[in-house]
Amino acid sequence: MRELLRPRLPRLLLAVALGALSLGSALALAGISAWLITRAWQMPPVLDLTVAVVAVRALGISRGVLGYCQRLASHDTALRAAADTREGLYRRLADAPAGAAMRLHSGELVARIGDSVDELSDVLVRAVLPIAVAVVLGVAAVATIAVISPAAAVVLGACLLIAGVAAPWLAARAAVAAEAVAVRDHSGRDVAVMLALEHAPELRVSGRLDAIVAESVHRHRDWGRATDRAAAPAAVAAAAPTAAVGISVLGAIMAAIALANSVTPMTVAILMLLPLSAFEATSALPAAAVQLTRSRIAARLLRELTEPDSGMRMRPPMPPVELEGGARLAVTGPSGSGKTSLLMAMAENPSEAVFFAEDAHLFSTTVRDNLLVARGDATDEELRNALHRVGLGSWLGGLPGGLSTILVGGAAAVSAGQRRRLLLARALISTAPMVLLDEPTEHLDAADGNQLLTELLTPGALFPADRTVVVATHHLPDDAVFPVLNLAVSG
Amino acid sequence: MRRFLAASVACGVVISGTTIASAVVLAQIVAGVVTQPTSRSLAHWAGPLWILVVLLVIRTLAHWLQGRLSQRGATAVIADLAREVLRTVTALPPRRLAAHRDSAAALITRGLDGLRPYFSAYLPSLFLAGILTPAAVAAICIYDVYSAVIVLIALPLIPIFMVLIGLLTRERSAASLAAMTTLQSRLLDLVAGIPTLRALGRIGDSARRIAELGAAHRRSAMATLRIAFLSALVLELLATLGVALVAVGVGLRLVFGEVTLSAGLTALLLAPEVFWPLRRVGIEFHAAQDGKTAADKAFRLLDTLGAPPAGTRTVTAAGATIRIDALDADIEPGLVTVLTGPNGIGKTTLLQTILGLSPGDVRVGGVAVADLDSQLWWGQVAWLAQRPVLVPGSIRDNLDLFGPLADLDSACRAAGFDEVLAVLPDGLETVIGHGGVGLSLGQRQRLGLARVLGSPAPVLLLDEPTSHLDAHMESRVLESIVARARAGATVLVVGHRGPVLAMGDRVLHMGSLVDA
Repeated sequence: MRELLRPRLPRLLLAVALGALSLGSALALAGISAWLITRAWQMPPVLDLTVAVVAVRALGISRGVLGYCQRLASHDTALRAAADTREGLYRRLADAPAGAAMRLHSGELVARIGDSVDELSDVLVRAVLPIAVAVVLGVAAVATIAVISPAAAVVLGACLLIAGVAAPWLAARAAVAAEAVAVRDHSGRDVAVMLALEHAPELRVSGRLDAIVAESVHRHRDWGRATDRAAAPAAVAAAAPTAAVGISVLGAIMAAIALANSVTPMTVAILMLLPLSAFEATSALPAAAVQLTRSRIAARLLRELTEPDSGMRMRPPMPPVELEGGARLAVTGPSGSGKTSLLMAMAENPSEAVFFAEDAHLFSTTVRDNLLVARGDATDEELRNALHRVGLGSWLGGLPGGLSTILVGGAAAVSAGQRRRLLLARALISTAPMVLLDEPTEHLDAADGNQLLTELLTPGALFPADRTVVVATHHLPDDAVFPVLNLAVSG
Repeated sequence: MRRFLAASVACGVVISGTTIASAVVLAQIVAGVVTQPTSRSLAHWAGPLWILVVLLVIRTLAHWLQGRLSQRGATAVIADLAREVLRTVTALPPRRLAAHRDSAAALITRGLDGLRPYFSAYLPSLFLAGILTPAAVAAICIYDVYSAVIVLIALPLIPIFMVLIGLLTRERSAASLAAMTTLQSRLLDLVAGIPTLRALGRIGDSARRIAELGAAHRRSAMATLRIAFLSALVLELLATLGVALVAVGVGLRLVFGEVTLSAGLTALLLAPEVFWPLRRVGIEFHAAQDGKTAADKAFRLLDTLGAPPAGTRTVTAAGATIRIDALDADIEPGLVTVLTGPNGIGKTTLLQTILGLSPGDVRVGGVAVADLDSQLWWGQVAWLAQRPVLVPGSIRDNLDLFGPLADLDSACRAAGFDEVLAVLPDGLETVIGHGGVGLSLGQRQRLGLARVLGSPAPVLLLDEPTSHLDAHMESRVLESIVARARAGATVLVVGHRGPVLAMGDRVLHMGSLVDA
């Protein structure tokens, strides 16, 4: 986790100090209140109580105010750390072997990066900070009590360990078990649900729907029971602090009764009442332990993302094809025959050849910026011209903001066919001498696709005659007259 | 659900009772030890100490029980809601089902799971706030009215300030939340574009952009948080200050002997119990929001979607003519009727109308489909959908999915599925995955066909039965279909291609008829 998340230490220490002071205010408030009331019972001159009265009021305010400052400081630290992590991750992904980056086409994976980085940086606010604060306050409470009664301090220390270590450990274990249950049983449940939802009419007509719904309910209950079992330690963890507070108070009372004749009444009251307030910091620790586990999982996911995936289907190495400037070539073959690999192999040198992937990304920004990624200095006139040539002229005319229209959601803003054409317009705008297009007519209907393929592969039609164009496609027009490399035949 | 709520409230009552009793007993002991030097022995306090121990045990058990019960309750409630949503949505007409499918899937597979924290953490804390807070105020009132007044003044200030802060900051926090969401999605957009940016050699610009967006995201997030944390600040401030003022008030009155030490201590020990349940509600509130939103969605879905009224009439489909008013056409038994027309004109919907799944005027043997008892009508129809349903399991499970086939071999032969069986590694026992993973589109289609052609139903509705088959296989399947019609079945086939149209005894052109 540490290699991914590098918080700035002074800021983190400031947050811990503010947190310790805030909860320390609550502890001090309990101690001074106990002193104040017992001292007042002795009916001293009111002036003797002035300092304590002012202190109690001040502590009543400082606890909330310092808590507010601590929240801001810790979240600021976490957000900075998250931003740094995101940037580092981005650079690493950008430099990673092509295979690792290719996996990013999955939207789910991208969302996971966002979630995982947030989950990772949450460790600062929800785990590191509460743990540090609880340690500081636990030591302070035990030390204070130890001055009065070492025996009571031992009991308090042991109870703090129950509430602050044992209960969080149980809670984290329950969380891990629940996670495992979810991974194991969720898919079975979801398959039945999706089956019912996707084929409901057919299943209804054939009289099978009730059985499939019952199956999904059955799976759901199985999952629920497993989750219940997994969550059992969490209930123990929830009850443990109550027991811990009670035991430490009982211990303190016994110690106080034994000591009462040899110390002041104020000391007796502090001894008996302080343990009640010593557990506030530990109450956040079960959640902290769960967060620690989650952040570890998030860190692992992120690490896996940047490491080469050994289980991934390796693309067979393909020797690039030597082509003369201005040549046209159609690469065909069934899926898996290595069309994409061949194109990628030919795109080794970006200044000579540019690869336009079948699933290239449309950014959620303006039409103009989406085209400018291919060549930053293209003029609006050139962009409009390119869009007209790929058949998007009327589409562009219908856009409310023209080239400045924002494609909200990227590819979600356009149809599959429009997306293909936009990606093709990118290729037109780039000035690389060789253009490698992977499945440029996928999702177009047969007539349009054939026409576009013919235009792509006819020198001077879409691309100027001096540029080299290689197209990978799985269907060619019947009347194809251009050079074809069939990978299924040549092996 | 009701039983679980009652048990949870009962636990809340027990926890509240033991909490207040413990505070009272503890205050008695502390006051006694401080004020009566003669009582300073364990033997003297054995009774109260044992009471404390018993209260502690009961309270701990109640906490544990509440934890367990709320987890079980959450499981039961989630399962019930998921079942109801699934039942309601799957009973919808196909078009409305398609509109609600994604939201229902998201609810059942993920959203409703968010109800767990709602039931296991938020509701118990809400009950405790509803029981312990007023009970603690009442108990303080009994021992020290003055302290009760302080608490009662501080208590209503909490909701008042919360509402005020909420009103003052709603617009600002909504704006900065929107800005934050936009920034986050732009960050993810750049990440998703890495392969494209790499291929175009423009990755350097975007790494700088990520850093800028990150900084902007932090600034807008902090702007939101500065406002969001104000409510926590008010809650903590009033809670702590309330307790502090009780302590000061008790202290100053003790000096003048206006209150006894034990009464003052009781008030001081009870004061925090008034406030902490409220703070817990505040803490659990956000974690519970997702679940609550999901549950609201589920209830809205259940409320708005009613099942269509069911018919009761029966008809003998064998030999009956199916009358379609929209096309002004009759589908006769013993003939193959082919329905054709451009994509999207509503051919599939017409099949669904004949089945009574979608609204429309169709009569079977003179009886409107809407008036038919669906189960009895469907029992006489075999329907091949465009993407036939396949369940994870063996090929045999799938062939028998709509009921065991009387003659499995001839059904497979009629559909050309025998050729598929011959190449599958384990034949009928070959296991396929969700959605037919392991079979090609054409193989899936032939499996669906075998299931339909193997059924003895007198009415066959086939939606593009040969769209994924080659010419040889297509003619073989079409022959089987014609044979069924010649044997007396009423056959309606949706199709485009020449051989399908050529097979039809009658061809209905959907688009042109509607135009004319």
